[in-house]
Amino acid sequence: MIVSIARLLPVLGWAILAGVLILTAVGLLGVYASEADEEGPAVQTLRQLGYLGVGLAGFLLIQIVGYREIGRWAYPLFALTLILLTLLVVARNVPMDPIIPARRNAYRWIVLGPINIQVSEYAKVVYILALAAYLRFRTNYRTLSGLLGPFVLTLIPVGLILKEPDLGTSLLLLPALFIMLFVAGAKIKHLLLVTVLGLAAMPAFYFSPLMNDYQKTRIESLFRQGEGDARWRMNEGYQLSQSKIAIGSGGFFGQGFREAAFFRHDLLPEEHNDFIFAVVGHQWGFCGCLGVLICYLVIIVSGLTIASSTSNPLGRLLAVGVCALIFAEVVINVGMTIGLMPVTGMSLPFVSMGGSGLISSFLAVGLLVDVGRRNPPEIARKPFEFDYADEED
Amino acid sequence: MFERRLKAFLILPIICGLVLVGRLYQLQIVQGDEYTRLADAALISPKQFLPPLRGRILDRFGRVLVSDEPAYDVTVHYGVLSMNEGYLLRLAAPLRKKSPRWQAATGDELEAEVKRRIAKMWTTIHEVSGQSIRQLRERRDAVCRTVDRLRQHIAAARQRAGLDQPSERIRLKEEDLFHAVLRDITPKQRTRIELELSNLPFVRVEPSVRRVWTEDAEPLCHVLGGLGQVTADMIRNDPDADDWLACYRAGDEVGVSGVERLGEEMLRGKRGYEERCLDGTLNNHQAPIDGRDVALTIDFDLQRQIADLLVAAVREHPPATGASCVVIDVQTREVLALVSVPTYGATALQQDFTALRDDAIHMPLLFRAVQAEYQPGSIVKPVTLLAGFANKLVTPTETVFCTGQLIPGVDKWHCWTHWRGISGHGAMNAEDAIKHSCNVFFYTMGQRIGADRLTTFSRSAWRGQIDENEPQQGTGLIEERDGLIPTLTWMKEQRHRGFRQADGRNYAIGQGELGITPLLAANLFATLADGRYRAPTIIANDCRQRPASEILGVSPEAWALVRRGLYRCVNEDGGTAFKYARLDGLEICGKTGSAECVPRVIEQRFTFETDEGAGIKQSSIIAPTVEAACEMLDLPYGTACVKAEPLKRYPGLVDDNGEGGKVPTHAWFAGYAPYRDPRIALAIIIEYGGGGGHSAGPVARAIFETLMRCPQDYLGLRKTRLAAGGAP
Repeated sequence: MIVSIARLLPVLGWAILAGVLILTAVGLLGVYASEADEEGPAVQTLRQLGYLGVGLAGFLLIQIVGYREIGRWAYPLFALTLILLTLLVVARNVPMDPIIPARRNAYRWIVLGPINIQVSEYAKVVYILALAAYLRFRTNYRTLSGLLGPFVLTLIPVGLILKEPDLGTSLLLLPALFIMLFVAGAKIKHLLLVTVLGLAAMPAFYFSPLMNDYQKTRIESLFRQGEGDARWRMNEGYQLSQSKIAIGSGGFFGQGFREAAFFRHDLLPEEHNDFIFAVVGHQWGFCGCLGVLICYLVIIVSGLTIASSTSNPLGRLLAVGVCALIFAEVVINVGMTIGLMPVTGMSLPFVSMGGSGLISSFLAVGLLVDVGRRNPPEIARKPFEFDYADEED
Repeated sequence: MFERRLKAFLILPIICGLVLVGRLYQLQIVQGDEYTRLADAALISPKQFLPPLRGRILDRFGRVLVSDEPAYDVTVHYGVLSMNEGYLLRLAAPLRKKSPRWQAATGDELEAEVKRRIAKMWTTIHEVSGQSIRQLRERRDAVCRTVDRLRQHIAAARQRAGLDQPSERIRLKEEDLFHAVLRDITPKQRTRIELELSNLPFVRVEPSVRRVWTEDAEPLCHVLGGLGQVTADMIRNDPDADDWLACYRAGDEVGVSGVERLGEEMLRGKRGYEERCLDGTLNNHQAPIDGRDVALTIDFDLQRQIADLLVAAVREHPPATGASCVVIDVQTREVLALVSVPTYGATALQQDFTALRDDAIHMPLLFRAVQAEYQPGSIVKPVTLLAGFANKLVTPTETVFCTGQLIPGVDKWHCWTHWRGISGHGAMNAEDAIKHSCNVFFYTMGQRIGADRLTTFSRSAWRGQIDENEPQQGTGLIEERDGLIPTLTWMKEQRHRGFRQADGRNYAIGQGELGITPLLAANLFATLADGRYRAPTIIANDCRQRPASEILGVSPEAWALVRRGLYRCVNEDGGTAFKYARLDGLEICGKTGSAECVPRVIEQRFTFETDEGAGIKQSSIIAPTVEAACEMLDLPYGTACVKAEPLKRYPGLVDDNGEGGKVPTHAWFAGYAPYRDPRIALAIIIEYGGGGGHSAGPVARAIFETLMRCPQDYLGLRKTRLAAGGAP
């Protein structure tokens, strides 16, 4: 029985699942420590455990259905997601309370009774799926004009998510696009061209009216951290400064798992969501942070190994996409808590509190593990193995 | 190729991971101690200051006149007073956590709720305290203004030191503190505020102190003075600025008038502080050091009794508007009583301040004893005589014939007999002239001496000044005035002329451009009694150097003559004070005075100019004082007043004959006792009280009677009796 369970997933699959569960546990512990001292049940911890259950159920569901079957629904799912995203954008002008409430002046959630769905979280996964489905067939993108398709496919959800407004999540899709294109075989010089153009356009973007004041402030904060400006530290730079203090005071071994004094007194806003890494850093120290990063690395490396070992084109791209997504999220979120990235309101996958985030991450990882599980026999050369002899020019 | 690119891609997470780990290493290992320190510091509440007790003010015999009593203040965090965005945001965060209702709210809703709670706090404070919203707003703005000004000073100081830091970047400690908006609340008020506002983290009820006057201390109101808000200038010039516990902070109360101000350095104590962790345990503690007491030379009982006498005298002699009396010990020049009437109660200053300020007729806020400069009238005639002797312009035996006016045929330079319908005094020698207060004699003296020499001599007699530019030593009270003795420079600037013969005549009888305060008058007569000038003091054991200085050029015979004249003025029939101030059992010497004066302006039309952006606007209104005018026009205090037209004066012309009439004179009496071995000198003035002898004389007698009855042997009579072998 154990053997059959063990064979349910390949070794890498178990490694990934283990990493994911460790990360979820770290997040739960972080929240529990601060909730345990309060009266009454630890509400957030229990809720997150509930979401964990749902996530695991979704994970299992995907294992049963299979990624290729889901892949057939890639485009319809993508269309549905775009419709939902459009609804969110429209809700700004046409009030749709209580289904689409405005929270802190952002329209990101669809509320169906007790269920809150943060659309952009699921949109990430669906996007990866759709992009992988699109990129399955080569020759589309070895030319510059061929890149147009993927870009359009990307920019529509990016734009919609941006309008919610959710700068962080929208930007997440771009690294995923580039990495998937890169790995799928688009010419490097094309990608470089686009990257350079993008970088060149950034200053224009920064000064255009597309950027809010507070978004500009967040980028400015990166440069002002070292100034010792007391007023900045108390106002715009408050979150970042407190985060650094929390992490820095963790030292090598951390302050201890129960050590939540710093967070109990509301000294770090959003410490359960965007800044959960600061809690980890404070409680588990350098060792803990290293451990968390290693978990993610294990997931990503396992994922990439899966990508290289499978021969299904959809599977390959899907695996790479999921890894790219996780990679980007981790870098942005952790970077944000330590002052290397601007604060963007992006949560840390598996560790942060939040139902939609946890469930969608489990779905993504479910797809990844499923790719690893189903390996068709080796018939033809593995896809995306281009020889230069294949080139027309 | 896919494989290759996969491997290429793999490098990216590894590099990023190394960068992140590197940064984590920097934060956690390299700077770990620093951040641990910051984290620990963040867990500590802002220090709460423990206020010290302010020193007490005591009278001559150690009786407590003013002291601190424990009280409670309602304090509000500076972030709410200044409606600072960052602080309001931080107020919103815990709100979100504490109730599920707010978890799903938008930022705008939370902000609105925070503002609603702040508004509720202000309304509750307004209801509980009875203070108007405008007053509370003023209080709040005052605190914010002081802190702003402090910030500007610091920015300016840093700029001068070469640091380029715009003032918006500077963060003051005051911005993290709670500031008092309501002081000294009653227990009922405290209960209500704690009940209704206990859940708000930005308002507290903090222990504090309040200043309490002892019962019946009203006659001392001007002397004691009051407390007020510390200004930004005071904070800057604070000698204790370097000591973070002893220095002034925005919102502190300091002495602004009277002895509270004079003795500020001694009375102010040093704060203590208490530092607690966020969970309530005590971290650090230092007890406050209370201020030191200030003992005055004033006799509380004597002050009260004299005040009663003055109030009665004012009532008996309408249209008198006020009175003042100063009693000085001749040998030590300690002030035993410094009375100014009308007085006000302790609470009146806070509650009825506007009414007091705008009472332009009685001017209760005026500290007459040291602040009001009156024309001395006849009481300076002894000084004129001494000046004559000093300049060898008069001899003891020479006489001047008084016909009632100085120059026959000229309807000016009359002797006071002219107004009483009596014929002139006839032949007057120096002693007689003092006894009878003959103007004609003194006009003649004035002519001979000349205004220049007379003013020079007066300066040495009144103030002990040889050189006109010498600084004058007084009691040190902020209200104290130096009196007016014109110099040539002053005449040129103010009257655009030099001294004339008419000035000499006027100054000789104490009229014209002269001004003397009751304190100066009393000290003058102490000088006449003693023969030397010495500065007065109101602080017991005053360690300042107060050397006595001789009045130059006056021989012992001249002194004896003048003193005899003063004796005869009171004790011999025909003397101007004989009927009014003579007292059996005590040989009083003194001089009456009826100073001609001008009525007081009590209503003016004030015209202000304000810059309205679109141009200069002029507005004018009729009001008793310029501050009242500002209030009525709703302009800020200090707006430029370009014109003030006097409209009404008080008193009007007093007509006791049914025709014509003149402004009543100020009634003076100044003197000392006993004649042999003088101990006490005093001066009394009743504003617009009429004749000096008639109005002020009896008061002087009553005061000397009081002094005789005092258990303390001020007049030295018991010692004299003992020395003479009599019963004590």
